[in-house]
Amino acid sequence: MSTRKRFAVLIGAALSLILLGGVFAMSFVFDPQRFADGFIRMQNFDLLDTTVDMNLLQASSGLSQNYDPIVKSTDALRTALEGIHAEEEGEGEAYTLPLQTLIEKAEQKLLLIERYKSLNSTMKNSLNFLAGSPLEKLFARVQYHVTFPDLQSRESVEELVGDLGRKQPSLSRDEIRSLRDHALFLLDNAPVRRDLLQQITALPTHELARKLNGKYGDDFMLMQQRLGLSRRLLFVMSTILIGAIAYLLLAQEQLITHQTRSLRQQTVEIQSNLDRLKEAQSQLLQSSKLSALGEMAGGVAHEINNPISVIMLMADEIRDLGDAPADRAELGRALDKITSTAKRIATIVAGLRTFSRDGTRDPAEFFPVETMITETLSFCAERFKSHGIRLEVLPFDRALQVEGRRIQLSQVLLNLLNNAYDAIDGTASPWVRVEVNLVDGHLRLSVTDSGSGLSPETEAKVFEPFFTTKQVGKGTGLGLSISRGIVESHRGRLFVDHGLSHTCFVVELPGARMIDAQAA
Amino acid sequence: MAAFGAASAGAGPLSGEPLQPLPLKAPDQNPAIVHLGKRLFHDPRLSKDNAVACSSCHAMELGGADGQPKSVGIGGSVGDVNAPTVFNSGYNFVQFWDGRARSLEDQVGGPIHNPKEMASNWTEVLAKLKVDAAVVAESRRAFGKEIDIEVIQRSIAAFERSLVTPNSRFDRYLLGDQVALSETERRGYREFKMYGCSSCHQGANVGGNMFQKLGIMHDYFADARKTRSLTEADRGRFNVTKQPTDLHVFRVPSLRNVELTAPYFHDGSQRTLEEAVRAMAHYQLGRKVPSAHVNDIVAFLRTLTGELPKVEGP
Repeated sequence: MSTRKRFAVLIGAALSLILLGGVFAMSFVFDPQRFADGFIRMQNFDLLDTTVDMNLLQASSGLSQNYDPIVKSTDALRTALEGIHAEEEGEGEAYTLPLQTLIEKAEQKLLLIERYKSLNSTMKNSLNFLAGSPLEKLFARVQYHVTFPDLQSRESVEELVGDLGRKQPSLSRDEIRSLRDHALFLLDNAPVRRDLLQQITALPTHELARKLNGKYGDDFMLMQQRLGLSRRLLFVMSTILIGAIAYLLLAQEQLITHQTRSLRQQTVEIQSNLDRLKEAQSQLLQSSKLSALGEMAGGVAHEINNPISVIMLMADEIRDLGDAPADRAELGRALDKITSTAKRIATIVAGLRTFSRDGTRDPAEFFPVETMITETLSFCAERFKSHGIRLEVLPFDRALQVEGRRIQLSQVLLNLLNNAYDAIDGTASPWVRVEVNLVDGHLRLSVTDSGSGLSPETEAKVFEPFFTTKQVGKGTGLGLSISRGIVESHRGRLFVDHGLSHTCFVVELPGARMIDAQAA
Repeated sequence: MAAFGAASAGAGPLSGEPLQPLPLKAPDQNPAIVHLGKRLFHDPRLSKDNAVACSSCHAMELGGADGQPKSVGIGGSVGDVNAPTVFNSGYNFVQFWDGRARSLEDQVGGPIHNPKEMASNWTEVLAKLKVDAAVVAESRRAFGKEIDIEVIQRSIAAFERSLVTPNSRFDRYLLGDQVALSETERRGYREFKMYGCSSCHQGANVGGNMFQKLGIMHDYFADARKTRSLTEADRGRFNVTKQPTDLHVFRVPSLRNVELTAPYFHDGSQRTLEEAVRAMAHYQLGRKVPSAHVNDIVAFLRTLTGELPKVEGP
């Protein structure tokens, strides 16, 4: 998957996340419950309002002494109104005016009801009083008038009231006066109560409450629809988002798998390169060894050629000898010479066998430095000599001994001598000088040749493996790096001494001391 | 609401009665608020000269009133009306004789500002209370804020709401204990209903749930003018609504504990229950009530005394 594609998916996911947040937030704005509450509040109010109206009508004709039903239902209506009042502010602008109007009209209604309640209580008392009197006809007419307070019914009562006191001998004057007072009180107040009732029922609380009820209902449906839509949107958005995330995760997973695979492949390649390199290295080491051997063989050939010539010369001499006594003496001398020369060859071969051994695992031991130098020189002295290179070892104390693996250190010296030989062979008056010193318990063995030192570039690399200045095929570039490895394994140092105008390699080894050869 | 709540609580053996028992317990309220209200109710610093507290005219030991025809306020000045009892005032539908406060909270500021009662104002009262560490601490504990007008109103109203007198003998009778009342008292209750007293003195508070004109059948104030001059307070609810129909209209007072709160009426003109019953019969009912009935009704009224609230001294 391309980066651009992934980026696009990422942007898409971010966008749908933002949209999701928006829709989620909106789902809080769409609060149908609020309108459902308002719907129920209005329905409740209208119901109580209707109950109050019914109670008002009932109370106007009833004679019951029970707890005033108006009081109960009015209290309930007032509580409902307080509930509406408490929610008024949170309902939004569209509701403010109708709610305020409803509250205002309802308050007016409650005030009128207070008056109605007061009037009704006293009228009820008067009616009760008349009902308990023997004047049944008066009570009946008054009750009719209270229910239908028109002029005609009023006159019918007034007619009877006018006759009071004349036809009721059983009643005292006080009683008659009381009855008249109550009848007139009812006559006066029945129309007042009717007007109050008309005023009360004319207040548009029902219409207002029902209108608000409908409005709440409409808004409830609207909010419900919007909420449903936002829920669907929420679902779609979520699905898209989850899809995008899954896609990205999958893509990421694939990318990682791919990268892992190619990384593994690279590792395999690197490993095989490394293996090949190691192989090459070991081949090189082998060839370096072979090359050192070759060089040595050249030296050995020189060393052995001369004694063989001596032996052949002696053999010719012996063939020419007669039986003369002088010849006999000459024969003994020649045979001695042959013997000593053959011995010398044997020594060289023995040394060669020793030298060509792998001395890596030999135990370190003290040995005379002189022996090591003599041994090493025996492999190359003839070669230097035959090429006109002066090889000199400056005199040093023969009691000097050093601790180490003798064969390995001989190899180092031979390597330094061979390098010197290669460097100066063919130059004018070439020489090589070997110096041995004891400095602060350290053996200092230097090989200086007549060359004019190393260039800085060469010196910087001279100990690196495979670095060589020799012609292709002549050197492996491993001699000095192996030598340095050997010296360092003896806790010593192999370095170039710049203090001289000639090329000088120095080997420094710890554990050097003077030991009396006799004592040792 | 109080009357409505009481109505549902009265579903005892006697049903359909115009009177109902009081709830056995005062409404649940935060005790810290009630305690602060009690402290302030008894605090004379609510008045200008630090001499008059709410409790000066609404004494716990005097039935929640003061036993005076008209209360004596700051500097010995005599108030306009007879102090209504504070007991069960939470069950009244409005406060004051003229009903000018809808709630107990609204009521609190009235006496504080009335020049004949406490003659103070919120600024003065708050200045005095804000330097009282105990009051400040109680306000913080009860309301989580510094003392202010709302704290004073709500705490005093809460304390007043806690002053209820349930479990009167009459309430026990309503709840089915037939022998809680003597025969005379039961007869008194029947006559109380028969004469129409219960048309207005009804519900749990035996009154306190409607307005009524004083002098329906006979002119109370025409008679009163013969012995005294009329006052502004005599106009009653007219002072609030300015409606001619509200002239001489008052809140019907509760008859709970009525035997403890003589004298009676808004002007404190009736010294005894017998006088008050007779006056009511005459002016409100237009009836002549025989002495025997008056005595029965008074006997009944004495059964309306409940368990008085236990308020330890401030």
